[in-house]
Amino acid sequence: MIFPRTFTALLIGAASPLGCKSESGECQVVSSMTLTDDEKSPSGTSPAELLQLSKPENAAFLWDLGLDGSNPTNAGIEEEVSVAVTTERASGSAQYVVTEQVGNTEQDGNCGPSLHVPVRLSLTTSDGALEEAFEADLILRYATGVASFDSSFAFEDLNGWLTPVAAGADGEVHAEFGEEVRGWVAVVVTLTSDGAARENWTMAGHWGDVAPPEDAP
Amino acid sequence: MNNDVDPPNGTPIDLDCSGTKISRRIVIAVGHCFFKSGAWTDTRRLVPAADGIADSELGADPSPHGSTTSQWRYIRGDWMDHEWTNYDFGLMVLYNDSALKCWWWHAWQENSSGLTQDDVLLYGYPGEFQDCGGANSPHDDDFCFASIYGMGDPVITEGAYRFHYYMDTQPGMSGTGVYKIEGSERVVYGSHRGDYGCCMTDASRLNGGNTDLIQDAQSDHPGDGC
Repeated sequence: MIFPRTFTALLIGAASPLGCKSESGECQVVSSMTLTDDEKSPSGTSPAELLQLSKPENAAFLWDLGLDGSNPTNAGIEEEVSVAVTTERASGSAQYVVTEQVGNTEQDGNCGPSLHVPVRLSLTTSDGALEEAFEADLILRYATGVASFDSSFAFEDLNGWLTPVAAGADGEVHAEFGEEVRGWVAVVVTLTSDGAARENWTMAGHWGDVAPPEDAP
Repeated sequence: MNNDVDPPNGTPIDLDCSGTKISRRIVIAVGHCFFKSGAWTDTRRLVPAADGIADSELGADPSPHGSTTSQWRYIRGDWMDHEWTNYDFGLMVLYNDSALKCWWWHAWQENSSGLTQDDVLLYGYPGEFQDCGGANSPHDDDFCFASIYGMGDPVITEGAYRFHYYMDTQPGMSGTGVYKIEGSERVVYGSHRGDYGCCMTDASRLNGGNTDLIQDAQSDHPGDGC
């Protein structure tokens, strides 16, 4: 069913100019306001109340394998591990932000009002693999009622002994607070070559109720 | 398609994009589903034949065929570097161990011209909180709730990278396979992308460059069995 490649390349070269820049379809800010920590946002939550929501947690922590059974890190998957998760206020102002989806690509951006509070999230596992503090905004999205924290890191910057199997991999940490408290650490490999960019993302470990790589019905 | 940890069984589905399985391990979509504004998105999970209405109306499982996390995601280099509309194409590669590897897939056709006036169809998944209008939603609030929605219409104009049509689509439907009916078979010619001009919408066609991406992914990650 595939035409010979040379025929196709000729048609492209003859018929089309270079592409124009995409008008990105995304959540764009339509209003924002700075809040003091005790000031309620128009949606009804103050930064201090959001910090209360992200109270310290001690939970069981599981090191994960990929769906193919490979271990993305040097962590011991058989060990019983716990994790201590704490958040504290970091410097910077809290913001109430309202976004709306704009642009001409049709990804659902899950836009709407949100509250952003700079925090320092500490993550310490009982096996010593992670003894870290990450700084980023704790973000409460009012549409879902979930407060979440996301940060990327370089493995060589970690205080703990966790290292990835893949050379050049980076790390990500995600934490959620609300009715469900959960989070994970992931290993990310990005490769670029031959006109393509490729990304491999593997969850390395998690706490709380996190869907497995595959969930059969 | 959604992010890694929401559903299978959550409410709402938190749908991000639509996609089309075209081989054992390849699910095609568009580049902005996977990489946008200079960063990779968290859209990695495939929930085939998702049913958000069943979920929101009946409390039923919105993932009747389960779900799976992709192993790799591929986008065009020019999409990563510039986010040029003409390179808005991408795909997910499923694990070779995934139970969904042998779940059925569409035929597809490399193409770079010749679609004008041809009837094409698309059926994708508008996001939970997009407005589908009263006739298209059982919800009092008219929200689409990530239930399959689509239509067919002729291709109006085309270029070597994209083809354009008058079909009303919603956020969440990016990546939907745009197909023709050939005999008894649905054959995918492109992935729905977004608006074009004031009134049309368009698809990234499966031209030579996008076909190269598919074939590179298949070569890097062959799927055996089935």
